[in-house]
Amino acid sequence: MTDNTQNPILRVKNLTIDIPTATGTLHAVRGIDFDLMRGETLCIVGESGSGKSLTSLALMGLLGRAIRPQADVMDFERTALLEASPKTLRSLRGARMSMIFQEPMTSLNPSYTIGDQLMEALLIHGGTSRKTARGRAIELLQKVGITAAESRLSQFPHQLSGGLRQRVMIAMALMCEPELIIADEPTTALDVTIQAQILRLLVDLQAEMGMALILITHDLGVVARIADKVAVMYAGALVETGPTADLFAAPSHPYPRGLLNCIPLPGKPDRCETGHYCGHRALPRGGGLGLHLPHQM
Amino acid sequence: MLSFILKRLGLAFLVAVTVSLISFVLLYLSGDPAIALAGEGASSEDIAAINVRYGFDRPMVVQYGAWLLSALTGDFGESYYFKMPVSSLLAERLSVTMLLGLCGISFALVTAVPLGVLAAMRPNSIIDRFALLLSVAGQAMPSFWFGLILVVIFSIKLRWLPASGSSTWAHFILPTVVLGYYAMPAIMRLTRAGMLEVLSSDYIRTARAKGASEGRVLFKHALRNAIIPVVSLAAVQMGFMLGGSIVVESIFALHGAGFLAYESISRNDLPTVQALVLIFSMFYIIFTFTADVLNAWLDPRMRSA
Ligand SMILES: Nc1ncnc2c1ncn2[C@@H]1O[C@H](COP(=O)(O)OP(=O)(O)O)[C@@H](O)[C@H]1O
Ligand SMILES: [Mg+2]
Repeated sequence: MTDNTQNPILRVKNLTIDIPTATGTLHAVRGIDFDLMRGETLCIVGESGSGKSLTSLALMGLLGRAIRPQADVMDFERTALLEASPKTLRSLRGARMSMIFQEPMTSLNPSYTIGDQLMEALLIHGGTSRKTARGRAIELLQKVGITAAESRLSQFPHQLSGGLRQRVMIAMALMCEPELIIADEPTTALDVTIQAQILRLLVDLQAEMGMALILITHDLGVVARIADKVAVMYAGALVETGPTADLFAAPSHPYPRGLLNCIPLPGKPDRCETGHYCGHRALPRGGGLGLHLPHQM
Repeated sequence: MLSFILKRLGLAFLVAVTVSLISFVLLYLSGDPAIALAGEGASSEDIAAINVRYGFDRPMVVQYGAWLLSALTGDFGESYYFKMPVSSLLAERLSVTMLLGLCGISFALVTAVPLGVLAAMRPNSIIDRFALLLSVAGQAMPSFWFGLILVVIFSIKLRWLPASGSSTWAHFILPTVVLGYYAMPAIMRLTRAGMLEVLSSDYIRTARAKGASEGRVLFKHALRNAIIPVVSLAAVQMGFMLGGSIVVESIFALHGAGFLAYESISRNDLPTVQALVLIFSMFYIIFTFTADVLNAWLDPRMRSA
């Protein structure tokens, strides 16, 4: 355990998300708990449909009107997120906690320039001048490894590749120097050749800026390298949460054990098998694991 | 953006030339204009005299060239029926029609777009149902009927507004409502559908994740993208209102260009009809050009098209 006497930046107890559907209630997330300290990295792994995205959207308060998450505790610092007014939540979003989404191709507004979209969060929260915001936008574009940053500001999303757009999304999330970043499979939609670059960039920036990071990923190699804590989600529940070293050394639940066997190691036969489970209605048939296996080690 | 505008301008010019040619030729195909002018029982000398006087004996190309050249200077010849220059006839009638069309489309946009946005914000709510009802009623009720109902209520019973004429702005209120009401349903449905689609898109979630206020999300991020098809629709409707406001113009005795077109066709008044067809087409071309430019300004992806 991280020996940390200060208060956690994020505290979640018994987070439950029920989605009313035509055929009954879908228990998409069922009572998950975790804490996150300042500057800490929590990796959430788990197959597609296990509730990872819903959990992160619930933390950001972005689930929309139809879905109401419930929890005994869901605090960001001293703010109880579920009781907070929309105004309070807005003042947190983009300023102190921000999110990077899975779909870089569609997550930028096609009608506004990269510059406008980058500066927006700072102009909403920071009360800064456009000139300052512009300077900050250029600085961050350079930081995320985009060349000719200044001329990019006047470009539109459709003029950028997927990898560049995700870099822009990362820069955008960092504009107000948030204390918490939630990255939901930030590289899944990208070309394999640049996935590693983008993840490394994210991790480097996190270390540099001292933010807490929740990274949802299928890349267990990355998890082993960067996570302070790992949470394994399975059919809406957290089946294993703990310091990375413990989890990788002795996973107690059969699902994470199966997951770990999926990491191909030299000389080790590939025994990728996570077993069966039943009872979670909304999962696709065929039990696809949705795991991204690292190509080489 | 500039090269886009120039390209569109060139295209609009080509369309304009084609349209002028077609409108010129089409009217000659409708029968010998000299016979039409002279009347059924005219002698061949009369017809020959008319051919010389109006220049019908010249080759078609020369006639077209001459007609186009003078049309460009605003000279559309003399009306066969009114015996006065077509241009002064048009100046008077077109201003009424233009004013009516502008008021009509503005009324439609100002009511239908907010209604569409509200309906999309709360699908299946009372507001959404009300908007649907309004648009179904709008499509189902004939405009002469709706116009007459308004006249009965507001002019005859309540005596608030004049029933006919075009001398003051008050005369335009009822015609505007009737004309605009017919453009409303399509604009509202399109706005609603566009907003529904855009509001569920990923970039709206991104805007919310930045802490954007609901107003900012709706108007800055969503409406700007949702309104793009509405702009093209409004341009077409505007063009349609100019030529198609005959019913409304007759109900309210507004002597506009729509009514003039109807009269002139039945009187075989060739120069007037030609001028009207040409001018209505030009307006259509101008409206679509404006819509294209507006859309390119709204959606940067269109600028390279
Ligand atoms: N808006 C929604 N309405 C109904 N069901 C949903 C909605 N969003 C997600 N779900 C369901 O909830 C489950 C968890 O989804 P999600 O959190 O996106 O999974 P993950 O990100 O782990 O792949 C899935 O079975 C999905 O089908
Ligand atoms: Mg997901």
